Amino acid sequence: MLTGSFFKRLFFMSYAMGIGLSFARVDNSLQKGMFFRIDKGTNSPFSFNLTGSEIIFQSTLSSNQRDIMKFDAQLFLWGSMEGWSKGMHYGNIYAIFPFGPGRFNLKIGQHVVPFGMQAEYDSHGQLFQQPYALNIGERIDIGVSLFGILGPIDYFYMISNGNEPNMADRDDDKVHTFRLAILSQKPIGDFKFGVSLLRGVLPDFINDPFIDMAAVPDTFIMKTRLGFDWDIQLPLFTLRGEASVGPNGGENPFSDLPDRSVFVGYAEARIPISYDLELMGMYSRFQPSWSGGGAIYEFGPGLNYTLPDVSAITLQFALLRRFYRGMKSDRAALLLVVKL
Amino acid sequence: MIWTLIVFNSLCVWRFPDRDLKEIFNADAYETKLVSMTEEQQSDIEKRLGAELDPDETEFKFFLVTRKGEPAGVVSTHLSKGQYGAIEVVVGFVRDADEKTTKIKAVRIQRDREKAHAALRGAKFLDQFIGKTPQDKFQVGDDIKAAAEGAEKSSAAVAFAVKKMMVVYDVLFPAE
Repeated sequence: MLTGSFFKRLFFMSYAMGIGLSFARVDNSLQKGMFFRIDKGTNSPFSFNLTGSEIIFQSTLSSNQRDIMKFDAQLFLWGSMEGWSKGMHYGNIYAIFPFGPGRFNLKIGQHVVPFGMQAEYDSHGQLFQQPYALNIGERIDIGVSLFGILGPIDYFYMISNGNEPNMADRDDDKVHTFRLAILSQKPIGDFKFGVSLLRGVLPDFINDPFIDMAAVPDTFIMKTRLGFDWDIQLPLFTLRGEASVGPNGGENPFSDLPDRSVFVGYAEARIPISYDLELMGMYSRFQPSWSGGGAIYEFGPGLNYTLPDVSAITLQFALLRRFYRGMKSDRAALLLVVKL
Repeated sequence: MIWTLIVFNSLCVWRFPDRDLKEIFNADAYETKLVSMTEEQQSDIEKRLGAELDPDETEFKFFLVTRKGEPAGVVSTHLSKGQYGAIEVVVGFVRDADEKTTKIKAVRIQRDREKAHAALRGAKFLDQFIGKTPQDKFQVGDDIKAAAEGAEKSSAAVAFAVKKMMVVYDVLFPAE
């Protein structure tokens, strides 16, 4: 303990001296999370699931004038999530080097790929999930990002392995992800629209890893995606979603579009009834071809309840109907989220 | 010199630091400071607020703003309990060395879903806070007018968030 503390201080002291600082302070914070689910479905048993529990450790290294580095580590403790689905929710560990207002930020490590709405909307701990597992094949990846704000425009660029977190890279191919987003705050509400472009070799699943946690990628394939996303906050109404198209495989993404393109869509609406209760609804669609054959889609209503005096505890309930390549199934899910 | 501090937190993010720094302080940098409190400080804060802190409010985050290396002010963010969900409030304030107190420079709403969305974000409502100190009441119907008719609860939520941040800063960083 003493040794660890000594080396930590020595490291930060050396780092601070290296960038010409005579003073540096490290502030640390710790957040604990637990996700407990009760499920019952047409094709799944009535079950209790601790899908995951985690510790999020955050540190900020500051001089007496500005932040020098932010460090986040999300540690999975226990839970039933496993395999590739676990790697889509757990494994964030990165350092951010902010270069000050008006300049870019550098992010290094394992973090969420900034494609579509997942660039800014954290679906971790939500019953409703966008179809990124079938679309991109991953959510968290190992790489380097640049991001920042230029006037009203948010920009993101990430170069990554395309392998999910905690995995050694298997090839020279890298995934490039770009996103631009614009926010407009009007008297009637806040409107944010983003456009994303992604290209690289990525895992491809035939079976949805969120339904079958034992699912592994059937292949790694060159994917090209053009995506649009939106987040609209109106009085008493939130609407967010994304749509993306692009081919799997091929070297000519545009001429290949009619033959190989997938279509992915997601929309989510939330209507607050009071401070602690909101109605939710979702429609999610993954279509492996233009014709719509083999489409996987899911929709349903839900409720989100926050304990009045303890915002760290929320309960979500959803009834979802799923069509999986022609087969219909229904499920009910109750999720308790505790974040302290 | 290295200072380390560990706190446990559940805090509101600052969504638009670049914009707020420029528009409120014409500043060029900020430093994040996490502060935990002693039981004595918590008791003092609750007494001055006339209300208990939430169970998960065990520490607070302040952004110390600088302009060309010199202190220019402080920003704090807070998730307030509105009528239809959380209201994200940003408070910018400066310490008045002569009067040994802090004064509000600007208040902003980052995110909300309230019915009176436009009125809550309007200058008519938010500019009422400018110049107020932690010693003020921040009471809707007294020294603060509601943003709109029927928006008393939302307005009170914003006013309470602003007062809380001012009082917390005043207790945790007492004027010398």
